[in-house]
Amino acid sequence: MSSLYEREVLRRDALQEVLNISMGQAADTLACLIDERVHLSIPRLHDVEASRLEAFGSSLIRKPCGMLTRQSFGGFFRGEVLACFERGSKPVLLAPGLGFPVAAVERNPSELILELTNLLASACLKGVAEQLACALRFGPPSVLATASTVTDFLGRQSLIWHKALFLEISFSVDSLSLVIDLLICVPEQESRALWQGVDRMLGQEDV
Amino acid sequence: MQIPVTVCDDSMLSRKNLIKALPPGWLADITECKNGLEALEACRAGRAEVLFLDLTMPIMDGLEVLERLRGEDLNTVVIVVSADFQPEVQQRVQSLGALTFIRKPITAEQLAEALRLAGLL
Repeated sequence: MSSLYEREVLRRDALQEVLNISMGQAADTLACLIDERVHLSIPRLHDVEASRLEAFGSSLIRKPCGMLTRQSFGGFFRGEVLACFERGSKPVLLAPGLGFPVAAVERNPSELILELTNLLASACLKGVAEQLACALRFGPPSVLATASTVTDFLGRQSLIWHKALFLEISFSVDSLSLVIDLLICVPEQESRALWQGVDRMLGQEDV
Repeated sequence: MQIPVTVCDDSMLSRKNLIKALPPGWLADITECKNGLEALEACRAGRAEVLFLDLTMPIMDGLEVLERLRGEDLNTVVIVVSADFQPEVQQRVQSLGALTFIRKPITAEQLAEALRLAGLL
């Protein structure tokens, strides 16, 4: 193995572990609110080309399909979190735990879903920022589509990136039939800063 | 005499950090595993008087390792090291026989405390 290859393997492993630790914090935050066990996926990284979204879709653990939300972030590096609340999930069951009136959520679940997006996305990214010793700030979450797959949605947009790093994580709560997939998108031009943070954490900036 | 120790985590960084955080001078013969199945084999082969076990892993997760170990007569002290620190998870691993739970990222002090608890330091 060349040292460049070894370094790349180490960096990706380190970023996955950073995500793993951040997800644990996010899951605990949610679990405390809803008093239920939250299951975590193994985080995965994807190098995505805008012209090959289909290949990206095939490489995901699931093909997330459902209500899509987004939340942008900036600071040391910029990007956005795309959250997919899988079709069949019952967010209304989270209403009591999150302090939302059930009847209001039944009429319109968007507000609760946006709250959940903010809770999970910001908890994950705060964990990443903390471990990489950098600062990130967050924009407000918004609903992108009420029923779509992530790749179909991306395919309909004029993307500002040609290549991007996607960090794939998911949370599920069996008892509430809830599955939430988060895809953290970091465009190539921004991912340099992210990798710089990883290198700094690994103490190998000068490698 | 060296103590056979297995460190099981799918993250190479995590394994290295844990091994680096072991008490200096503590004599351990270390085996590294990337998933639960490898860890189970290490336990069966007598390479794990102490098993440091992650929970969220491919192929076989840490909870399944604990479940399987319980069904076998293996003399392994399990110290769970995980980022998933929800109270229910901690209760579950303890009910499955783990000695203690350390939340990631680990510190050398937490590790030493766990080894003291196991009577190995």
